[in-house]
Amino acid sequence: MRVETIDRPSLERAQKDLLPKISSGARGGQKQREFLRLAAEDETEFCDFVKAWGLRQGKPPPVTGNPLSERELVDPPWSTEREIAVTWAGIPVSLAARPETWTRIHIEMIEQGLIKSSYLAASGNGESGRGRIAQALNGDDAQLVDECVRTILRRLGGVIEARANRTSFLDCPLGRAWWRNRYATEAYNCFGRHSVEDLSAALRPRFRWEALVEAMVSKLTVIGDSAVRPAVVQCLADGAGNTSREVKDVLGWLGRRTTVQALGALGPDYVRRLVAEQFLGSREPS
Amino acid sequence: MQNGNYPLLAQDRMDYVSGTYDAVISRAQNGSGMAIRHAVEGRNLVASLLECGKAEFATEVSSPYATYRQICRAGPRRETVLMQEVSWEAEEVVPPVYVRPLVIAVPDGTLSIRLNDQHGVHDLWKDVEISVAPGTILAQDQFWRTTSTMESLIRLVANDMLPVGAYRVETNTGEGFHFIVQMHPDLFAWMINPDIDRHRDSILTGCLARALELLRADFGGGDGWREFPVLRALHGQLLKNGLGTWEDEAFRPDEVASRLRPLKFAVHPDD
Repeated sequence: MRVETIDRPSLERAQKDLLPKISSGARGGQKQREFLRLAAEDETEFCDFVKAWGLRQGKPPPVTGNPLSERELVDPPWSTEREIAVTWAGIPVSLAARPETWTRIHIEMIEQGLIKSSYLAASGNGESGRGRIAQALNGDDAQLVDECVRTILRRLGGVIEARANRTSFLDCPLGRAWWRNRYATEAYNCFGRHSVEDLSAALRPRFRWEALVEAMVSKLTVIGDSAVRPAVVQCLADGAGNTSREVKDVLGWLGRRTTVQALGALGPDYVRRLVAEQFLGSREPS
Repeated sequence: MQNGNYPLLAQDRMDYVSGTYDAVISRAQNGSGMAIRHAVEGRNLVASLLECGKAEFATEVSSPYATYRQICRAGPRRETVLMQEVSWEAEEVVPPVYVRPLVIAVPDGTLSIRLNDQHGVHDLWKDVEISVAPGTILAQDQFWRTTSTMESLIRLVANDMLPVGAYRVETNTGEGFHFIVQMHPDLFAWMINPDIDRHRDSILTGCLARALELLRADFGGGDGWREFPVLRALHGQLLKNGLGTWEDEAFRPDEVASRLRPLKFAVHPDD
């Protein structure tokens, strides 16, 4: 499905404009405040503003059947994750990996009344987006204004300059849930030992998710192998990688192993047994 | 299992005294993907394992930005020269796509071999008993991408919104990293078929100077650039040539650009 997206160079340009470097002295300035004001109003002007950055032609993206609450948008629970996976099942990987796609999807969701633009500014600890924007706009804390703008752009699809192409996987909750469900389903299809819900839950802890994405996208790309990744997900669900250090140990060990052995050629079962022997020991389920 | 436990046939290794592994990569004639001509020359362990069906050629296909990686096995063919075609769905990857040719042990059973004169290995390996597990990488080439890194750094595109004769340089991280140089169509057409090459080189130097300025503005204070292989390659080239990099206080984009001539570029009329 070729869906309409925001034009990538235009998105990068707009983000740079809205997130000036600290040395510029422009943080907390008029551009950022105007952007926050538009987001707080929950009107289509916010959508028009983002779309004016530039579009790459395609069909309007599909939207969820039900409105999402602010909490669901910020951290989609399993029921919402399932709806996300179904709604955007037709989005190819080549688009789902891009912040310009998820930005356009959010704009469509706002235009269709399924989320409010102010939700995008909500904090992770329960403070509403509307309240956070009001606090930023009513004060003179430039850093708070900048953080608020940054949060909105991250949620929309990701901030390209900060995390390049990992940003959709890490910073955008809808994108994160879509990818998490994809990897959980992949592991389920390989092994069928846990439900997709349980496998997805194993990927929810931030330290696991970030380590996995960092490895696949930049540092240890072999973890993204179609035989290696499902084995890792299965072993995490079976109890491996309970701390940040343990997850990095698992990924690092696999990275070293693949410099001498093409694990991808040996299939997910082989890799799962290897990891389980090394990291689960007697904890491995029969 | 450690890398030192068996000999590896590769350009940067000295484990073998007899033999080479060469791979030639080209675009596949039909459809998307690549054609890889694998060739193991000489009398050595890798060649003998290929000939007796205990090893096979394979190609690793990788698109990190799509978290995609796959090993395409050619299967045991009992040949030391083989043409392999690998392909992938365009919608499953985000450019750049990398391919790496390999020779691997077939995935059934572990082999135990005592190395001798017939195996073409360095003296240090002689009379050493090695254990070759399934999938062991016996020979490997480097990662390849469809265009060379420096050639893919600057992309020229036509933009009829610009005034006659004008160009504009921007960064784009959508497919790895590259600089887009938007040009008025007249200038774009001339750059592809210039009447004076030196004039074209001067324009490209101006483009690169601006590009390096953008690099310094975007990445000068941090190491975010290390995310992108093409920027790591450029950084390495600047150091190798004794030039400054965008991390240096005294970095002079104009001077560095003028010393990197001649420059190559890619053309993307439909970008």
